[in-house]
Amino acid sequence: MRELSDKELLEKLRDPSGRAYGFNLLVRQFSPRLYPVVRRLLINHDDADDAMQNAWLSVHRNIDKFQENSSLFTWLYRITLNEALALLKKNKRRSFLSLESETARLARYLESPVYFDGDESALKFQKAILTLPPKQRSVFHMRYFDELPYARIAEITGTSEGALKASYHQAVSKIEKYIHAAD
Amino acid sequence: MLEPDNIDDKRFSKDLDKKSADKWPVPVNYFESLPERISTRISAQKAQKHRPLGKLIWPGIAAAAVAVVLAVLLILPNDKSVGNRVTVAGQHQDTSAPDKAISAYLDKEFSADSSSYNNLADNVKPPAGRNKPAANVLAPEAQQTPISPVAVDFPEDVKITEDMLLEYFDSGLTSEDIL
Repeated sequence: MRELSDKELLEKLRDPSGRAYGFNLLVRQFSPRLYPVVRRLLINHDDADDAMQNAWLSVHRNIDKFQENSSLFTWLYRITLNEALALLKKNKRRSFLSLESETARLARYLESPVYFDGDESALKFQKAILTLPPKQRSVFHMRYFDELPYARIAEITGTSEGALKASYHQAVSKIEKYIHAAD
Repeated sequence: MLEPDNIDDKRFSKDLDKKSADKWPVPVNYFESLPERISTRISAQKAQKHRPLGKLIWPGIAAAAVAVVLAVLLILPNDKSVGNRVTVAGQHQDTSAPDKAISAYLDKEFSADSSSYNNLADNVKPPAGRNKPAANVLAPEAQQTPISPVAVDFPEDVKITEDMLLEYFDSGLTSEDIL
């Protein structure tokens, strides 16, 4: 199926009779690109699915407020990322009294083939990424895996490009250190 | 110096492949079924928005009814308890007083008609050594002077005589002095 442009999608979404159909197309078109954003952060599919659904509900509520100051994908990415970070925070609070830390829990998920498909070096790499704080982790994901330009990451996170470069630089150093220590 | 724009996989590990490090198994047909599940949640949310109003009406009515019943139960006993509470300004506040004798007496003698004061005055004998007619004891101007109501609790077993009341008005004694 052909991908629709932002303009075409917004026309459908703003037409009351085609709104439901337009929203359906929006979900179909962008979900496969947004899913890794939440999955990388939350590791577990069920949590990722929760965050995805919450993000789409939020999009549905706020679609009329979208002012086209950025691309539709950037706007959706920001909402999805915020939902994933919010769920991560909630899970962290919930695990406060648990014997296992949230990072340890996520690392355990990584070791299960149900949750992660990569080889051994990929697993070690993912565990190293897990040691980063959530926001820095999301910056690393955007830059390393999604290869987004800093300007776009700045748009999504509302942070300056300089701060993002510094954050990414730090993240890379931490990951390197973790991997070399583990070797 | 590390260049953040030029990070390759080998920097982290000689075996690392970026693609393999981003492999997340997804349930079959997950993306196909997602729009439908989201639509279901949107419908559920819409239905939930309407439900609370309907849910709140009956508990609200029940709570209001209970509040009214409680208020009535709390007010009724209070009415009885203040039955013998009267004011000496000439008007009694509560006709449901248990002491019917006081109530009836005050009704008769202190009605809004100012003639009751004259009746009282007619019965007053002029004080010794004074040539003033008894009717002047409660002169019209004195009757018009507003008297601030003072609540007095009369014990139920005390019989109030006309003399006691006249003495009260004449001397400015307090009810405690009379009783």
